[in-house]
Formats: sequence, structure tokens, C-alpha cells
Amino acid sequence: MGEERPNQGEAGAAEVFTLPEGEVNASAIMAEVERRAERLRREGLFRDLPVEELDRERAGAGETVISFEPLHELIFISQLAKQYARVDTYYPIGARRSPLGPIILLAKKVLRRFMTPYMDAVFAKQREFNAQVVKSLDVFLELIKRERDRSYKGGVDRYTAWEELGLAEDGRELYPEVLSAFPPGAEIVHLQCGRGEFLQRAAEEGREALGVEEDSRLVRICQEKGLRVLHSSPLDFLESQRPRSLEAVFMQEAGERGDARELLFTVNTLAQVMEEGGVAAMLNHCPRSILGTEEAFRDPTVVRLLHPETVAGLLRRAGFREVEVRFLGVPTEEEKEAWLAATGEKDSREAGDLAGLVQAPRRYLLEARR
Amino acid sequence: MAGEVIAFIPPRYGPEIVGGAEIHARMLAEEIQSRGYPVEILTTCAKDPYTWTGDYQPGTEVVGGITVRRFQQEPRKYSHRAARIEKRIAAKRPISVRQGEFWIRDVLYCPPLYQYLDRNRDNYRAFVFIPYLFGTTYFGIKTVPEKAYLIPCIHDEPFAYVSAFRRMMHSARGIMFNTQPEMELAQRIYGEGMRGRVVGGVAFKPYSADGDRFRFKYSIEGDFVLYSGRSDVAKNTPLLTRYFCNYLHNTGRDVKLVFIGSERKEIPYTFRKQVIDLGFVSERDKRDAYAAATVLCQPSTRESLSLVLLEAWLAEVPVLVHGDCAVTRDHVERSSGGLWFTDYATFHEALDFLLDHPEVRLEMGRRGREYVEENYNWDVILERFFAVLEEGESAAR
Repeated sequence: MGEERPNQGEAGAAEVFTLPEGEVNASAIMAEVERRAERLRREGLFRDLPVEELDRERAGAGETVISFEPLHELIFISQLAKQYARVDTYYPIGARRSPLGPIILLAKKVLRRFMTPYMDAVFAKQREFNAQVVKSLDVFLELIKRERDRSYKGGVDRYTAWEELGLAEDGRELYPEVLSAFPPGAEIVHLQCGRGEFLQRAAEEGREALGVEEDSRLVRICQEKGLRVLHSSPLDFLESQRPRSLEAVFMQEAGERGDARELLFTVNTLAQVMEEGGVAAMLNHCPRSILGTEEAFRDPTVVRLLHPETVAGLLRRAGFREVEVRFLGVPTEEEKEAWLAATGEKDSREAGDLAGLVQAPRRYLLEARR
Repeated sequence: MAGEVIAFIPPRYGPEIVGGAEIHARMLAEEIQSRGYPVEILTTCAKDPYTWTGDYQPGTEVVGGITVRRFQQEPRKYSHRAARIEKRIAAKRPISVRQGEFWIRDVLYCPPLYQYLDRNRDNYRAFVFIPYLFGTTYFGIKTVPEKAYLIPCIHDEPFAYVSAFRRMMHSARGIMFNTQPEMELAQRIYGEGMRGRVVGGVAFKPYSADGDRFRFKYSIEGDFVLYSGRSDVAKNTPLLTRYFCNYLHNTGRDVKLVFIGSERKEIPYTFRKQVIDLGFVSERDKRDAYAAATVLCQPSTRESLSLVLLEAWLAEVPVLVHGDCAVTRDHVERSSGGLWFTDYATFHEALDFLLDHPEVRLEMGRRGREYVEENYNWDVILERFFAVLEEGESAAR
């Protein structure tokens, strides 16, 4: 490599770091580190003070410390408060070294023995108050962290609200076709199982199915229906599985919400945990269909639609052998008519052309075999 | 299944127990069980490694698919005599075997466990004790020496020199060391003649992690040095805080130190913007933290394997370790996955170097990952593990 770079630190401002030639070798780099460290020691170019002393010196120098990050500030205050939550009344007893030392020590011990019950009572209220303050701070801290986490996950909370209102469409009429994609007798894992409609349908057909859902309210809804469901994010669930251990996995609207990277991670992890010959199925909205697109965006938490070719490519790249796309959900005549009427195109000349677009299937089912 | 079961005997056991040896025992037991060998855990009811208070109920339960039998330990006694002996040990002054035994018994003693071992010795193939330091191991090996195997997790600390442990090391049927430096240390302290070999500890499987997610969640921008794990004097974290604060003071660089782990840290007030304690984080956040970190620092000088180091390397993060720890330094020298320091001056220069050379950091992280994948995979480790058992069994015949 032989690259040279000036050291940015004050302590070694004049020196440049000469990287040893060839491959990265820790011992060779350490030889150079040692050489430079020796110069620091020799010339006294640094200070190595105990932290308390350094802290006092910096605080005493009148530096104004302003933190712009409320989360860090709260973490710090919470840590600081914990130091005072328990007021210690048992400070070690000492006595000056003098001939009277042992007597003074004894007197102090006797005094403490008699005073302790009274002092404990005085401090009890204070301790209780301190503990409450710490508890409140911890609650705030947890709330802030949780809110940040939620905002990152692309509004899981809002999606839940739509689910609870029953406004998010579920594609349940397509479930029999989805179930037929899985080998008979295989246990089906439904990632992001929502309110558990698919799990119910699977149970009706005598199939064994397990749901995975990260929102606790939806988990509760599923549990009230007597469905088997785990409270976990799909990625955490998949990462906790042994390699090649899952037979059948179902995902609905995969990658249509939240961060697109989650889909990448999920597909890659899925490929690691699916057993040889195992089937992963994904039921997504078809962007080629106007009705499918319209339905998808009725749910405001959907942020993108994915082409079947895109998802199929991801699955193949992750290691799935066979990937097959099936289009499902051809609109009925009534649905086509209703859409044309709603758009005011029912009697126009172009209605026939538009009907062709509308007739495209609304969903696609990807079957990927490991 | 009588006579086929392999029992692991750690001093504590449970999903929420955070401790190198305890995690080591759990990972190893779960892997062996998953390969079709019957495994059990025999342990105490304690959760706290200092007070050894009984938080779990005695009895049998299944944790992660493994049968766990818990036995009620005696409360820690804190006797004056044990305190005097501990002072002598800390000063590396000689103590007799009797005094050593008294001290071990004073800290953690679990008679129902020893009775169970005695009565059920024929129902088990082997008893694997971990780590060397506690009464569960010392008195356990004394009870069933003919089937006792030891994963000592030993490091250079005053307790290792207690003479009672010499007898224990020589009476075990087989010893499974995590690393070559650990075995050399044991041979230096206890002499040659122990039946054992380097097994390698545990294996790690690759994981996916998202550094951006961690940075967003905890509002951390720019370069940062990460410390992960228990924070106390034994782990040398006060030294890391001291060196890091002095480094900031001397250089004025914009870099942070982030702690993750459950213990509370004393953070100097004027450095609170740069030294951040996130407390206990989830497993996923921990992995994301590895992926986000510029450098992982492991300042401990008392490591027998360092799970944190090996796990972090899978996220391709370069490491900075204490040069006085033979084990972590050996990992780094063999992998070129980072650098080491022995005092403030070397810490200063090594950290400067790592921060200034992103392309070398990438290469070091990649080498660290390769090192873990080559040396710490289950097939290799379990082959060595069972080799030690078979050697012990054939010696007993």
C-alpha cells in the first residue's frame, strides 16, 4: 500500500503514518504504532489523567456544554438520577489517627447504631421520591425509543389502525389458491399474519399453520380467535430459525410497506432457513392492473408496488431454484362495470380499451421452491 | 437413555443470563442436543453472579428444548475468614488447599447438586463443568472425577493461582480449552500432565445486520468506538473510558464511545456528548451496533475466548484489544482483524490509525470474519469436543 497520511491529532501533528507495504498485517502496523507511541512518550506529547481530574479540569475551564440531542440528554439524566435513587446512610466510619482514634471510632459507631432508625425514617420518603423520578425517566426513555423505532418501521401503527377498522383489504377469496401451492401436510408459517384470516382459512382446510406478527394488538386479536401466533418481527423470527428448517412460508404484500431493505434481508434469510424443496409463496398486488393498484393504495401505508419480475429476481438471487408466477383475481363483470361507471367512462368510445386494462388480474402469486 | 446423557454444569443458566461462560454453555448444549445427543443442564437457582441469590425455583424445567435441573445453593456467607483469604489471593500470597476450599465454599456451595451427582453418576455419560472458578465445578469434580470434564475458561487472574485448583485440574478426566494461549497459561500455572486439548469454544453462524437502523434508532452519527458486554473493573471498562476521554481531550477529534450492556456506567459529565451508554439492547440492536461501529474495543485482559470479539467480526468490524490479554491478542495477530494497545500512547496511535484508514478497516473487518468462519464452525468444534470425551472414556476403561 505504502500510503502516507498526516495524523490529524494535535499530539502527532507533525508525523505521517507510513503504512507497511503489501497486505494488511496487524503485526507490521503495530510496529509502526509502537514507534510513533514511543515518540509520544519520549516527547510528552499527550496527557493521560484520571477521568475525574480531566472532567474537573474541563468543567472548571468554563466550557459551556450544550447537548442538542434530547435522547442522549435523557439517557444521561436517567443514569445520573439512578446514582441518587438510593441514598446511602451507611457511609463508612473513620477516625483520625490519634491516640483517641479507637475511642472516637467506637463513639461514632454507637451514635450511628442509635440514630440509624430515626435517620432511615427521614430518608425513606426521599428514597421513595427518587425511585419514582427514576421510574418516570425510564418510562419516558422507553417511550421515545419505541416511537423512533415505530417511525422507522414505516408506520406499523397506522397500518394496524387500518387493519382494526377493517379497511385494509385482505384478498381472502384467493386463499384457497394460495393453500394449494404448499405441499400437503407441511406446516405453513405466515409472516405478518395481521388479523389471522389466512390462518383461519388454513385451519378450516385442516392445514397446520403458525402466524408471526410484530404488532402486539394484532397478536392479541389472533389469540382471541384461538390461532397459533408468535409475537416477533418476521426478520427476527427467521433469524432465530435453524438453517433449512422451514417447509412452507407465506407472505402477503411482501415489500409493499416500510423500508425496502427489509424485503432484501427477509428474502435472503428466508433462503437460508427454507429446507430443500420447501415452498415460499408471496401474494402481492399486481402493478399491471388498474383495479389492483387502486385497491393497494386504498391502504395509505402501502408505499410501493413490486413487479412480479423484480420479486422473482430477488428470490432467484437469494438461492431459490424454481420461481413461478401465477396471476390471480381476474375482476368480475360487475366490478369492471362499477369501475367504468365510477370513472365516468361507461358510455365512452374508449370504454372497450379501458376494460382491457381493467381486466388484468389484480394479484400475483409467486411460488418459489428452494 | 440412561448413561448416554451429557450434563453441562454451569453456575447459572437461563435465557436472560448474560455471562461469557453461561452463554458458552448454552450455545454448546443446544448445538449438541440439536445433533441428536441427549443433553441436560444441572445448575443452581442463582441469577446474580455476585450475591448468588436464588431467583429461580428449584426443580426441573425445559429451557430452549433442554431439560434444566435446578438445585438450591446456600446463601453466600461473606465470612471474615473468607474475606481475609480473598485478600491474600488478590495479593497472590500463598494459601493452603484447605483455605482455598473454604473460600470457594464461602462464595458458592450447592450440596443438593453434589448429592444428585453422587446418586446419578451412572445415568450420565459425562459431566461437563464450566467455568473453573466456582463451587459447582470444584466440588462437582471432586464428587464425580471419573466422569468429569472441564471447560475452564481460565484467564490470568489471582484466583487462577489458588492451589486447590491445581488438584482439580489434574483430577478431571478431560479439559477443553478455548484457545492455545489459554492452554499454555494453564500449563504454566498448574504444570504439565493435565488431560486436555484445545476445543475452540463455540461456533457462530453468519447473521444479517443493518448499521443504518442502529444509527437512526439511537441518533448516532459519525465514527464511534463500540464496547459491548458487562462493564466493570474486571472487564477494564474504566480504563477504556479513561483512555478514550484523554484521547478526545488530546486530539479534539469528533468520535464517540458507545457502551451497550446492562450495567450502569459512570460517565464523566463534560464528555457526555461523546460517551454514550445505551444500556441493555435487544439481540438485533446489538448486531446492528456491530455493523454500525467504526471500531469495536475489547479492553479486558481476562478473556479465555471473547465471544463478543468473534461475534463482532462476523459484522466485519475491526477490533482494538488489550495487548496484555494473550487470548484476544492471539486472535488479532492470527487474523489481522484489528490492532492492540498496551498503554495510553499505543491506544492513541492505534485508534488514530484505525480512524484515518477506512480502507484498512474494511480489510481488517473482512479478515476477522474469515478467521471466525474458518476456525469457529460447529463441525470442527464438536469433533474436538467428542474426541476429548472419547479419550477420557478410553482412559477410564
